[in-house]
Amino acid sequence: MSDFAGMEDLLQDFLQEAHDLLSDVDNKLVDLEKMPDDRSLLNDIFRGFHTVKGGAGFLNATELVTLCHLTENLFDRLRNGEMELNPELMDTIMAATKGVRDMFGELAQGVQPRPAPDEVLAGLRHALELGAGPAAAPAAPAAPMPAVTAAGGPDWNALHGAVTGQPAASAPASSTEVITKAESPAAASSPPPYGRRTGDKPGAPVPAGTGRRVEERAAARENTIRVDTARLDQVLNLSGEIGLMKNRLTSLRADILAGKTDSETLHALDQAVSQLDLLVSDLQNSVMKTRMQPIGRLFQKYPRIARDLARQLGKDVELVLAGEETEVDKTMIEDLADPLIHLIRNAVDHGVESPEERQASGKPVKSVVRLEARQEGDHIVLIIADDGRGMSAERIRAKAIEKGLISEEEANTLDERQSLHLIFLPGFSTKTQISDVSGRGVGMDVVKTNIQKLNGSVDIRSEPGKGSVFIISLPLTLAILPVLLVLLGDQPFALPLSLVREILPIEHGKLQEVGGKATLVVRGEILPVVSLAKLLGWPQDHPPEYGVLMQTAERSFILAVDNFAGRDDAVIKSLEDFRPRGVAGVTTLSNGQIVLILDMKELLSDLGQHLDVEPRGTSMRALEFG
Amino acid sequence: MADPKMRFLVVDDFSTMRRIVRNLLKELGFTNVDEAEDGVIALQKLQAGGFEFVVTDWNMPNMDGLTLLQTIRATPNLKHLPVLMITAEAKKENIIAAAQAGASGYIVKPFTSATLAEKLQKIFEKMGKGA
Repeated sequence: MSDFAGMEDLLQDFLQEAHDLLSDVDNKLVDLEKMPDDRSLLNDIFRGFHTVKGGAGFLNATELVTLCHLTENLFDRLRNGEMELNPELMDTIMAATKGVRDMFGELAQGVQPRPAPDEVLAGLRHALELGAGPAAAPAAPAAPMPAVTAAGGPDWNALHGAVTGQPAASAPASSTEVITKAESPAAASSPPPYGRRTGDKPGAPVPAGTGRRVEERAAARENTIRVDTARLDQVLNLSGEIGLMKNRLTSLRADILAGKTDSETLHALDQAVSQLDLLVSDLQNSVMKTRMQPIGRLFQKYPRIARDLARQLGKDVELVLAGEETEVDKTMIEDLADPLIHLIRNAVDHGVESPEERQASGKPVKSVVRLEARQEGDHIVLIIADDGRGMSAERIRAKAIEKGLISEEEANTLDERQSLHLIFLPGFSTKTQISDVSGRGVGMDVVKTNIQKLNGSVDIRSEPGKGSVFIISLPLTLAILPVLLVLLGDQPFALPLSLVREILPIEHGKLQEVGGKATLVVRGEILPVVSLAKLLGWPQDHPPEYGVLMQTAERSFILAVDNFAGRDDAVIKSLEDFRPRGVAGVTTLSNGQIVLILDMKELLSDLGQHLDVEPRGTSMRALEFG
Repeated sequence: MADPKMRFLVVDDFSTMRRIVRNLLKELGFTNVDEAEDGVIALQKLQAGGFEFVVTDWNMPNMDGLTLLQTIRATPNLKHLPVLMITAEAKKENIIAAAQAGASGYIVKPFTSATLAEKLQKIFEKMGKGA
């Protein structure tokens, strides 16, 4: 099935490295538009294509070699001052870069890339012909790579022979042999690859019904990771230490089994166990760190996407990146790619006004979209901010009613923030006209679902006329979660510690009823009291004794429980196929007991409906005590 | 063929390419291979000593392969080292430049282990004669 049998490792390596190179080239191209004469930029871009070409040759990816070769030649001319950069040329180069990226996509699916679209190749050749000075005129550089090799081969061998004093007799054969060897496998695979129509062209708009392609792409997801060797050494070091500690424990066990239970031995045992404890948690942290990658790897490709889109829409937008060095769990980086693209497109397409509109409202024509990452405590915060027209809560409410997503009564109970959040409802799109870029009404709800899958949340701030800000908040890692263990009767439950602010006793005399809801005043703040038992649908046979004050960005409330058992670092085991609402996963306690980890976001959203959105007077089941 | 313990330095800024060359050398029985990602790092490693053969890419940041070659030839304790240039270019002027700078051999990407073996063999023969 694969065109790369036996070369999978090489292909993986190549794709990973070449992807990075191309992202770098993309960013440098954006810079180049501002500084078209910058020699070092031109040099770097030249080298990028050159390097990809070299690697592609070993994969027999002839079409990729050809495309890179042409583009590289173009940059050779540019850096030597034989040609000048102009907007049309820039578009040609951008199209070529896209062609290269498309070919990476094909390679990732294990098929040899098809030729680049004719117009791209023709554009490149045309540019090369135009730019060819009278001195550098031979057609060879513009011809596909193998031809060049063929033409240059014998020359080289003769020369090499002459210079090194070796007879050139057998040499020409060897050189051409390389070429035939390189070409024949490519030729063998040039019939249309499996599952493709001959009419398809890479880079052509993907026809509708492309679910399969998407699946294929998902399957081709990177499953290798690059790790700083210092971090790996740390892991190695710690596992070595743990090995030593295990030896120590083994010898102590022998002593104890032999009846040596004096206080010195027991003290040594105690020490060894607590050291092992430290080492294991260090090891856990180190292993976790090997999964962390700078988010810059993801950010890299966005300036180009923003630029292309802005150009297409006739807008002038600069995407400013910040916090690229922020480290995020690798799986999270992959799952963030699509939501972020969508939010950036949304900002450029819907957020930012047209140049005329901006001018009319006295704003600078060029708009700035900011993409920022930073770590806040045990959370990663991503911000996508534009300085565009902002969102009107009024209009969003009206639209949601018109689309039948909410009723007028419901709309009236929504505050500003809640109104903005309506855009995350499936089927919501504020633009009446569908643009081919980001306005199909799918997407924003997908953005929210994807972020929630990562245990994250999205928030919106917007000021009409000033712009909108999307704030994504994510946990640092998905694998280990510090939790608070609370008890209902004898049954422990785990709550994410990040949401817990404090634990307080519930004195029943101080409970107050406000509008039918149980509330407690904590330092002057009136907080709703929610019984965990009721939330889970358990009978509440006696009043809970403790309250856990939980706080998210949106709201605070007191979760009433029977008791609490302490804190723990839970290693989350997910419940892939069977996941009841409100349960994030399970973990095992040191005594072997299995504990459910509660998904407070989900429980909160249930709560949210009762607290805020639903008209008063409806069910308050979550808030009543038995 | 030459001593399989011969120590190689493979210089290329593209790690995939270093790996390719390393694998091809391994196929030929040479397993004592170190890597450097540009000319500057290569020179540092070469100065530290112990290398008997250099395989270098041409186009690299910081210091390119041609400059590396020229520097090696101009450094008394390194100038005897065989240097095989690898490049994606088969242009005449490149070959002349490499030959003039004292390249022991020149190989065009992509190549197979057979081609590499042949180039190496030639260089070894010449070294044998010279010694």
